Amino acid sequence: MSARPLPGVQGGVVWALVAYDFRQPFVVCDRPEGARTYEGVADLAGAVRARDLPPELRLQVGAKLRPVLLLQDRPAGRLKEFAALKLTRVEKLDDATQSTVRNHAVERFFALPDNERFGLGRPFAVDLLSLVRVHESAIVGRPNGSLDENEFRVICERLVRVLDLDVGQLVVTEAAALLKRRGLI
Amino acid sequence: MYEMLVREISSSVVRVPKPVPGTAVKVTRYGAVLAFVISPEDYEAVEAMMDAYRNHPPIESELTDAELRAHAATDELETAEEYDYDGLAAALDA
Repeated sequence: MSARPLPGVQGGVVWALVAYDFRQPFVVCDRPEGARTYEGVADLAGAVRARDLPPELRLQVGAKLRPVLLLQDRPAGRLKEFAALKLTRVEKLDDATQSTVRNHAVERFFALPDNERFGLGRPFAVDLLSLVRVHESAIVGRPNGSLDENEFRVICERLVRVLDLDVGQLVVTEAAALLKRRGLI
Repeated sequence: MYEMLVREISSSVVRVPKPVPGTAVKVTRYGAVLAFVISPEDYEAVEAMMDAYRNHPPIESELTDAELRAHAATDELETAEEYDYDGLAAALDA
């Protein structure tokens, strides 16, 4: 039996404008006298403490239009942000790493089975180490393709480990509830 | 994962200052650090922390070199030749 597609946009690959992580040096853009660079966060925090900078400020950050895998659905549109994982270009990797990723020999990467299925022109892999949030206004169009429920479940199971989440007690509780519903305990 | 063995020595053989819980005693000789002395309570806390890491090691400790290389590549700059303009065009048409 073939795996069912997921409803909505969960598990879909979309293109989105994603900012790179903030990292030092920090360039603050909205100072009246022009942009100013702070070498480290301690310098910037010191400027805020001295009332030289407001606590809310505009930073110069790089961004890239890139494909991401949406981890969530927002059918009611009440939340505007999506958790997502960046995709990495498989061809950017050296031959040995490409082979490892394509053969699913690493747990923290999930090579997309067929780039054309997702509307992508090149092979990509989901980077489970690159969790981001993207606002709906930064997403370009609807998904051109989605993971099926089996593929997406693999991602979710691996993500629990990648994020160092302790779900042991949750699993025990859910298992006990299931056994109770079945009348087994 | 890091393992620390314990070698027991009687206090009749070696003289050590009595450490206060929450404070480690640093033993130095000519500026070089020879040892740290901590209280039994603090040692138990360290052991408990090491146990926690052994049972649930942070994912960072399990990453392979290939995964680290691939993760670094995720945010590497792409040239115009490398960028997937076809994929972006398909997204705009979706």
